[in-house]
Amino acid sequence: MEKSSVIRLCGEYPENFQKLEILSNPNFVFKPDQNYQTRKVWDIEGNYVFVNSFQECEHYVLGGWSFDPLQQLEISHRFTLLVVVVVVLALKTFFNNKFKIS
Amino acid sequence: MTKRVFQNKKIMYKGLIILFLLIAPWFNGIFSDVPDPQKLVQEDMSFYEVNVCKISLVEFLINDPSSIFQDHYHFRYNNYSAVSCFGKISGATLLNNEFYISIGTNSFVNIVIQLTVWTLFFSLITKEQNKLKFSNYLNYIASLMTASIFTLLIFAEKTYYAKQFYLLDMEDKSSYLYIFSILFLLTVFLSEVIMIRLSSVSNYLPFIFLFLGVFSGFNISVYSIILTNFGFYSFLNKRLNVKFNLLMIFFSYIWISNAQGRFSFDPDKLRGFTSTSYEFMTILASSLFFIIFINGIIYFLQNTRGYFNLRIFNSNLLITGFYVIILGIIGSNFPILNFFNYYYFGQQKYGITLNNPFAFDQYGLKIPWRGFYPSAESIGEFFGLVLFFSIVHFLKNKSKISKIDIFYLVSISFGLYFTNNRSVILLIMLIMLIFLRDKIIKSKILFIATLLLSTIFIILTIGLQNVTYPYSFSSGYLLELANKYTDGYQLSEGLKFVNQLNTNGGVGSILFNLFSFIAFYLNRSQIWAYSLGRYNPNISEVLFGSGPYNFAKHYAEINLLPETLLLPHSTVLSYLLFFGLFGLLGFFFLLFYNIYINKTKLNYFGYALIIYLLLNIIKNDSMLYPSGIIFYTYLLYTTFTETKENIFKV
Repeated sequence: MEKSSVIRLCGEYPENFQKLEILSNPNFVFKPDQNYQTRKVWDIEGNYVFVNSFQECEHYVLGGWSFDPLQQLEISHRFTLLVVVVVVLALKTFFNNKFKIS
Repeated sequence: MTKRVFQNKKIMYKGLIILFLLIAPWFNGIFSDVPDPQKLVQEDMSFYEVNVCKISLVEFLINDPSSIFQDHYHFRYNNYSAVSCFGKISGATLLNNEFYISIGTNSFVNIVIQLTVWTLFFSLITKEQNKLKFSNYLNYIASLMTASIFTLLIFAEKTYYAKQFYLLDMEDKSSYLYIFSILFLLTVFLSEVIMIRLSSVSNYLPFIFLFLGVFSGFNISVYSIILTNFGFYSFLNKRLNVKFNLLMIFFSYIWISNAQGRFSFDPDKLRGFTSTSYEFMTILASSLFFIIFINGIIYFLQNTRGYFNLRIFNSNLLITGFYVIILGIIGSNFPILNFFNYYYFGQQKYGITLNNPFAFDQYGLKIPWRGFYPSAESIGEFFGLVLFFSIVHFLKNKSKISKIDIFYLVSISFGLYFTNNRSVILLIMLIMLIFLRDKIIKSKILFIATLLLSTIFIILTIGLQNVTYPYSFSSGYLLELANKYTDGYQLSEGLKFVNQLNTNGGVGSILFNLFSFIAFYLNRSQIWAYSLGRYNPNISEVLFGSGPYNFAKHYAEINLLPETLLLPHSTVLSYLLFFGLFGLLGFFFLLFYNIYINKTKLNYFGYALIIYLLLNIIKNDSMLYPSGIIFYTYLLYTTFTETKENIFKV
């Protein structure tokens, strides 16, 4: 799941990708990758940062910055659609029972 | 009186809901604060590149009404779009000086709208008084099982669906829970309407050639859902044929154990009833689905037995045939209506854009015009069937024919001509001759004239130049082409076998030469040569096939030159691929056994219908479409079993 989130938000893992030890080094500075298109990642509160390398993107996403507002909006719309279907079906059943029709 | 008023009100309300669902979705976002839409111009398309999913389709059409009828506009669905983008312009591009306008059509919204519209249409069918007793409780369980099997099919084809479902994580279990929930609710909605109309539905079966029922963004047809639900319902009712199901399970076991490798397939016009990939999971899911589907067909046939009404059936054939032609003509002239035809009738692919159905190519050959349907040949067969039933109904049974029926018949005859299905025209003429046989035999002049005209027409159908070829050429042409199409590196096992057969001579070679000779005069040499060049089974696949309705391995395993995705144009060849020799022999055994045991019940027209269907099964792909398999099976079954009132009673 976490790996799929990284791929979804940061892109496919580069060939020969080596994960660096970042947390143990408080002075670690991410180097921008010229070949990597800058991306924006969000946390659950809606704060965002721009990441300039796959390494940096993966680090943020695994650290919880994997909130995708577009996807969340889509999920809520899909849920609304499901609720609409449930309501319509419930209304149909109600009227069918009331008027003995089908 | 009160009941009638109530019925009329009900129909009116249903009509209003259908109208709302036809119009409202395309107004989405019309009242939102967005820039004014701009007309499409070749020099600058940037407006629709910047303002993605902001302009509703209706706004676009109001702003640029010429796009409704000018044929350089093409409206295309974009299923990979957000729910909020539904009915809005999600992009526009210029290709070869033609505008392609992409319309947001989210797959989940599609299935809800399309299924609701079709269910409302189904609900307009009147219920039989002596309707079948059905259990709501069992229906809910059957719906649960139906939703489960379709969710499994979607899971098995997740590579295909990842391109159809916007921002849905196909690796996440909760995504499948969502898919299952929506499928379950919709199946309940649909099945409740269908179940209580089951016996009447059979007479309205011709409409499956109008409402093709494939959901946009899904490889699922509404008829698959209905029949799968019937299949599970009959299972819960313990009304299964155990021996038949054990045999199917045995075949499935062979298919699943053979499923090695991974191949993908673009379903194109077969969408809704074929697999998009060949791998273990797809074969497992599609085998399960197929067993239930066949049980559903059996349940449907058994429960509609005795309800056939030639008058209603023929009337519905005429109406369907007429509207298929009219919608084809309208769609080819109005780009926006071509899009709506695709959407609201559930087409597998857009209707033809060639707006002259009389057109000939540069060599003076008639261009087959498929109009509304995905295949010109298959819809030609349908038009032939309409004419066939009309001959039986109006001429043989001397039923009263109205002016509107004559109008429909003339339109459908034109429709058959448009499709350029010459073998069907020939068959219909032969059936007419059977009908007129007494009059023809009595008069010598009429007999000679008929014989002469028939010979001329047969020669014209085959092609004058083809009659002059010697047997040695026509009987070897198919194999010659098959060898020519190989890429020089790969040779299919099927082709190797036939080459060996040809070298050895003997009975096998004679039989294949005869097959090639028939293919030549059916104009199938090239297409069947492609099939032979690709047919690459192991011994188990020769006997049992490679899996139901799965072309992925067949088209991906062997490369041919030129590369083409032409379908086999023969249900027999397709079934040999899917079900192997045993499956095919079983199919023919069942058919001929039924002909044998019903021989006293069948008259000229019964035999004519069986020969008509059989010939088209041999030389066409009709049974690869849900409409074809359901309709043909129903016709065969009804021809054999109708005892209450023989359908061809003279």
